[in-house]
Amino acid sequence: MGFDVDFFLELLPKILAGSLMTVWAALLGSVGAVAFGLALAIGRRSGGVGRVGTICFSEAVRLSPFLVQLYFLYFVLPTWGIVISATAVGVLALSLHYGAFLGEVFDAGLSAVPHGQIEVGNALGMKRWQIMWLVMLPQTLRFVAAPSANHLIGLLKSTPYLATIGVHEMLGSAFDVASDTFRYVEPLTAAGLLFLVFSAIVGSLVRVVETRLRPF
Amino acid sequence: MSFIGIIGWIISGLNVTLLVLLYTAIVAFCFAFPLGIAEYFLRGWARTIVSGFIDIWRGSSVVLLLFFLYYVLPAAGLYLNAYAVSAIAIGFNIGAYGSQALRSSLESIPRGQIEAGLSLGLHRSRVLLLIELPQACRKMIPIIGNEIIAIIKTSANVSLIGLADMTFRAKEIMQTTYQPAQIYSGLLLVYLMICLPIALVVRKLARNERVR
Repeated sequence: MGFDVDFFLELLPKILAGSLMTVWAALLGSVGAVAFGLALAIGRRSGGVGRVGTICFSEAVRLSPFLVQLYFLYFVLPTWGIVISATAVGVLALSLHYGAFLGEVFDAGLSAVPHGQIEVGNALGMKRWQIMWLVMLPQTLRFVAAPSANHLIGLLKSTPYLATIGVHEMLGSAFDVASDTFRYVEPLTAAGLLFLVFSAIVGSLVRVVETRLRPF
Repeated sequence: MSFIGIIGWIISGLNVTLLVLLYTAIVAFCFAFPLGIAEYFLRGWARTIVSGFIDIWRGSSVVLLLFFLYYVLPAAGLYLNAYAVSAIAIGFNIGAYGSQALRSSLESIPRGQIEAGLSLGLHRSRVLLLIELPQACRKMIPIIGNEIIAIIKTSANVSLIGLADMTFRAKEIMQTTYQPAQIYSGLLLVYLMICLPIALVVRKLARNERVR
């Protein structure tokens, strides 16, 4: 059982087609994670029940395996009457898991903005959402760009997990080919190499963002 | 099956999870220390090679690595059992992160300390061993705690290549008694009960470090 180059080249388009799903899931998951992380960070700063609830939630999410969370959503949501596609479950799991990490980052970023800025906003008669949206968030962006980018790379690297619940992303399509042909070497090599290329591309994008958005 | 019964069945996979943790921690340690120190000392093209090697392991996905090593290595005539594959895949990945932590802790030690050591007539290797590494290791303690949590969390993946860890046990009872809500919330709870104490200790250590 050696390495068949012709077969490798033949199956590459199939894996590339699967990689579209990887990109799609990673993009949707990133948007969801940023939105959810922001909600958690703002909820944590609201005090009282919101604070305790969001802290407990993000600790629980950060201290348990992503694979188990994925299984939980995939098998338990239908018993609660929520029936959604495997891809949607995957994107939801990515959003919740990485949202919890991003929530911590955003919270730290919001704390880094001097308190005087909120007072100035109040003194100018701005509403709370205006202070948050126009004063706090633009400054927070500089602090959180680099650590958030690292978590989003982590999110990209977690997309192969979706293959375990039957989403046809890169690893999923590699397994499709493998179970059709009983050859595992070429499809898995193709998926692995493509994945390295992906994370190299995203890694260099992140470096650009980091240099552009460095804190003063 | 009652909730207590489910928890008991899940716990029966704990020994495999802990064994994977042990093997992986050893591999990660053996990866992180030499490579972190090498990256700290080397300059020029040699450093580029070491950084590139670390980045390959850091940049790849653990799930993909597990399947890749498990299915592709036998084609190259290398037969490893599932424990070895998990230890290498998870250990190299976590070790790559650890090497970066070690390198940055070494770099954060003030230059003057090294110069002081050298001017006292110590050899460069003695400076590393007696002055830099003890301080870097102290800084590393909370990071090592976080990496242990990361290994425990990632160890759930070994169920995918057939090791009977806690996640695998949960999937077993899932197939015999279809009770997803109890089984998977029980599994999440067990992982949380293992990782939470470590996280609390890590936080306390990190706070002590900041006070000092």
